[in-house]
Amino acid sequence: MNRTQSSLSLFRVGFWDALPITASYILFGAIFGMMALQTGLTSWESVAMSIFVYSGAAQFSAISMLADNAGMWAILITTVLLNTRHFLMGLSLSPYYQRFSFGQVTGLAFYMTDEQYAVTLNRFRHYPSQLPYILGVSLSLHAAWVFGTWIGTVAGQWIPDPASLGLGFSFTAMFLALAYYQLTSWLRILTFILCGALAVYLSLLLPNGLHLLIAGLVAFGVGYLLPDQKATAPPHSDDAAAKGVESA
Amino acid sequence: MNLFWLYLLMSVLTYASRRAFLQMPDHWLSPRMRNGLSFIPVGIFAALIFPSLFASEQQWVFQPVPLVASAVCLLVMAFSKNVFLSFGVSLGLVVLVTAGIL
Repeated sequence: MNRTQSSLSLFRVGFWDALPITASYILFGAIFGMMALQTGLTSWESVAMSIFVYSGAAQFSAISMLADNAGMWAILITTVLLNTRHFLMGLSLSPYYQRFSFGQVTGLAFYMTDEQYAVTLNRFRHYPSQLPYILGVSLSLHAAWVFGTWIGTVAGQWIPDPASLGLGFSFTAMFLALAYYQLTSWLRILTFILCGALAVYLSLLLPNGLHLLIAGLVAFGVGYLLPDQKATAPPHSDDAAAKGVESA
Repeated sequence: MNLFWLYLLMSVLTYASRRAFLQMPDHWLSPRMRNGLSFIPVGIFAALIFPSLFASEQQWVFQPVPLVASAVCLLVMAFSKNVFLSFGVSLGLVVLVTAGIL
């Protein structure tokens, strides 16, 4: 019984931590739904894409390419390029997922978006990785994305343009706030600035997504080659689990 | 185009990229490797943040409002250590300026 309550409580913490991003997911999901409808997809086809593919970058690219009558292979190659960042994100989460069974990891992998990665990684700085917490974040974000898509297909004409309201900054604001906790030494701050400058330069030259992969690889190289006393190690104690989240 | 196959293949490719390295064998995770892995989020966050501030549609851009809001976000984080507050204050600033209220 206690275990169930604890799991439920952790699930709730995950839900609340993801809430600001959940709101943004609904809005951007709605934009996707509206655009998918304009591309010629039906409401169900749009929602199905959000349910099964569940990758904002890949989905926006796909409908844009569908509108331009691009071939299936072109869309699939773009999907691969956009998804290369997931290799490194998964690798960096690997130490925290060691405690989960093969089946659990196989299930959780589906939900690894940029935002889920950011929110859960922030939690793992001080608390052990807990399945209910990750599920709380993951399921609420996925549900928000699918719900947003559906809203966009049925009420697209009433959805405001996020850019005109300045809401495009919401993801940047959340990533910045969460990145703050990663900047625990001068080496990390310098790596952050170096990778940021590199990413801006590469984003002007390369297809979408590859700059993330390269910036992640450069950061990995710095961390691998230069020892950092303040490196984050996954906490192994379960003591902190019941204390609730620190801030996000 | 057959949407069934498109969705299926996009789903498989996306899922495979997420699952591939999510659980590495323990013996691969030496202290040095763990240190390297702990730096990856620094690079990923930088690559998510900086281009959204300085690049748009493969063009260099200078956007004072998001830049100031980013500085405010980091300052609020430094003083409050509260992600929600920093998120809310910085996003609120951008929305108010965009709406012409500030």
